[in-house]
Amino acid sequence: MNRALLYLWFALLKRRFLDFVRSLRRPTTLIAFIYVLGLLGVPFWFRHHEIFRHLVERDILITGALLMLVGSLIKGFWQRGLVFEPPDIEFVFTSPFTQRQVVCYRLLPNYLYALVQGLVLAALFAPHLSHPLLMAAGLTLFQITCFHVSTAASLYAGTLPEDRHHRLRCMMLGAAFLLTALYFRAAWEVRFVPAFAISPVVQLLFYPAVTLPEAASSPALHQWALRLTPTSSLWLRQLLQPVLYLSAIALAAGVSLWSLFRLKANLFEPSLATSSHAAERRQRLRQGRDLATAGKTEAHSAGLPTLSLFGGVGAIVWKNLLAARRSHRQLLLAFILTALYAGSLVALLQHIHTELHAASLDKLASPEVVMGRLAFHLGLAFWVAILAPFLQRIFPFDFRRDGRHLLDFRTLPASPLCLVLAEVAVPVGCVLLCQAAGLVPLFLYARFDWPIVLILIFAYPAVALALNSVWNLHYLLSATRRAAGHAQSPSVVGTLIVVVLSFLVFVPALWTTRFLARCLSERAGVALTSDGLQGLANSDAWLKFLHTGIPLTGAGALGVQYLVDFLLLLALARLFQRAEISRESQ
Amino acid sequence: MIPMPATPSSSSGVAASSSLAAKLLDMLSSPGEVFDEVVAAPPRFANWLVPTVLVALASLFLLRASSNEGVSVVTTSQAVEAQPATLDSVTVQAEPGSVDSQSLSALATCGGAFAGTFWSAFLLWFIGRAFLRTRFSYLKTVEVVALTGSIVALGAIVTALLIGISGDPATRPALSFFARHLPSTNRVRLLLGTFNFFHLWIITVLAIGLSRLSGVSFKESAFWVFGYWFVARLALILLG
Repeated sequence: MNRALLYLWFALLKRRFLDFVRSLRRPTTLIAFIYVLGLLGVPFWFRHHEIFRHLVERDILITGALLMLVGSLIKGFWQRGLVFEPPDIEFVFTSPFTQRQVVCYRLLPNYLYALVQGLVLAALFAPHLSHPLLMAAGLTLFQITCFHVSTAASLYAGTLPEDRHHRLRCMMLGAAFLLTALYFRAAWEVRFVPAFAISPVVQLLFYPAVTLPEAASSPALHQWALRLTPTSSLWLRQLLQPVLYLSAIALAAGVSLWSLFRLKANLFEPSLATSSHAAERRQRLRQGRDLATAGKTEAHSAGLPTLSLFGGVGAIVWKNLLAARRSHRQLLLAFILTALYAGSLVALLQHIHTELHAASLDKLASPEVVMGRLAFHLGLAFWVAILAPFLQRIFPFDFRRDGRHLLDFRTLPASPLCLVLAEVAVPVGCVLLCQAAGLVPLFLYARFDWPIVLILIFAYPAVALALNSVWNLHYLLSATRRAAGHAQSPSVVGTLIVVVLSFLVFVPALWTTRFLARCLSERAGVALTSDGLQGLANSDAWLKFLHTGIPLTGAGALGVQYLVDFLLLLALARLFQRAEISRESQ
Repeated sequence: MIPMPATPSSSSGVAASSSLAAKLLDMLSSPGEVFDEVVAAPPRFANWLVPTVLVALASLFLLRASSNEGVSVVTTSQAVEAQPATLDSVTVQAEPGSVDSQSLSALATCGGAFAGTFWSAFLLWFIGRAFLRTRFSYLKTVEVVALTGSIVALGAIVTALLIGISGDPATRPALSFFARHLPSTNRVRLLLGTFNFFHLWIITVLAIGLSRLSGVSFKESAFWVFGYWFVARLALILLG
């Protein structure tokens, strides 16, 4: 081994390690790393379990070794020649190194991997091994042998013409599969082939190397044919009907394809325009811009606002309001969703209250009915609250659109907190406006106590604010990365984290609700159980809890939720303030 | 510029086209030359239809011979197939020797000859296309497979004669002939049954056919043809 190549490998390894450590600052990489650590940690924690003893039995080790060897051979043969990094090809290949030295240089990372793998496996199985170190050394050396086989196979494959390599590759794969199946059958009694595979009917697949009458006289074939006879016409009808339908659909598909091919229209010009349009839309989506305005660049100018509210940082609110007014597509979508939601809600309320009116007054005054009504109406209130996540996605008048203007916003003479508040104000307002369409009829029908009405009125902004804050954290991060020329579109893991976070932000409030409800119910002399609403033994205590306990619980939860919202806004402001978006700073 | 013919160039010295009967006879002695001629000539309908009909007729003869010798005798692999679960699953069962059953067997034999020809041709064509990376006409492949029918027909006649001599409908011109004392479900007997003389001959001829169609060496085509028609069958018995 050449010392220069050894030094190069070590330097590259060190740099990769440091890069990896630095990449852990990114939440997605950190989560992935923790996940891998967890995957290793769980078996390590349970390493004394009986199952690990079975894993180091002789037969399993032999099977594993054979699979590794065969896998290495196939994997090596699959590629022609060895894979190097582009800089290696440029510098190492042109340097005065022998082929043996270059191969050794290529194998060095594999040796390190073999060593780490041997140590990890030995540590995992140490409680069940009499000589763990010997095992680690053996595993490492065997893995190294596999790497050698793989490298040799790759180098040999490189000497073959491409066509011949392809054919040999298929042959090797088929042979390896067959031998592996035979080994598993012989050593482990694993049956890969069902019993019917040696029946005469299946033997027909090997025509002409079959005795035809043997297959033709097969009992299975005769039974199958008998089922098609008119004696069992029901079965035949059941078979024929789907076949008929399928044939009709297949015919329709064929005829439509034939018609399509006969259509004498210009394919290229309209496709060019449509493709360009689609590409532009895709580009806008990647940049976090609105799709709806992709085709429109003109809009009527609007007069300047006269309200002092829209001065200073309020100008951003005004700008977003204006953008909302011009976004007809979003408004229409939100209107349809709200109409459907509110319409179904009103219909349900109308139906239930018609039935309630028919009931006697005594029955309506009973604690069971009162609690039932309250629970039903609170359920509907929750139903209206669920509208918020959907509406939040429809109104993009926040950092989704303004992400492109981050650099400009940084120059504004406004505090970051005020700015992020202004950014989330319009979507929150729009969401609340839509929710009001469902909430007003609910208040009219439900006739809640005023404390509950107040709590509900304050609860919806808290929910909408929390959701918008969480998602704007995501939008701001994406916009920052985009502005710095990094990722073009948000990663799946990132989006998943945001979705999870948008649920987690309500956990403190829910926990508070649970805690307060339990305390206050105990104080009122009510036992809260899963069937608490049905088993109302002490009606006075329940009514007391209803009028005082529930509002107090709601108030406490609301307080916690607003605190969480404030913290989220602070985090958003902090992120906005600290975001490094210039290319030079990266 | 004169366009080149699409057929492979292996037939440079092909003689004038011989008759179909001659082709069928030549298949027994020199299949390579017959395939060279078939590959070079344009597709002919009779080249696959007549041999397939011949196979169907010979197989019907064998079927008749088998049913004459033992109506209810169950052949080796049929015994494996006839599991109790399948026997009691159908309410109405056909008697193996009944007229309906015989008609059905005859129908299945004829249908099997035609379906099998197209299926085998598809397999050869697919092997050539996917594994050998060569392109050849599917119709030519059908002709090549169908022409092996002369060996299939000969095998059927020999088998019928063997059955007539031995009086055992399970007799085959295979190594299992020497292990007739073993039960029909015995794995060894099943394995020996795979070494059927005519089947091995047919497989070899198919390998020659694929080699001529694709232009690859006989070794390569034999790997795939024997791999499917022989090794895969052995594997099914061993792994099942």
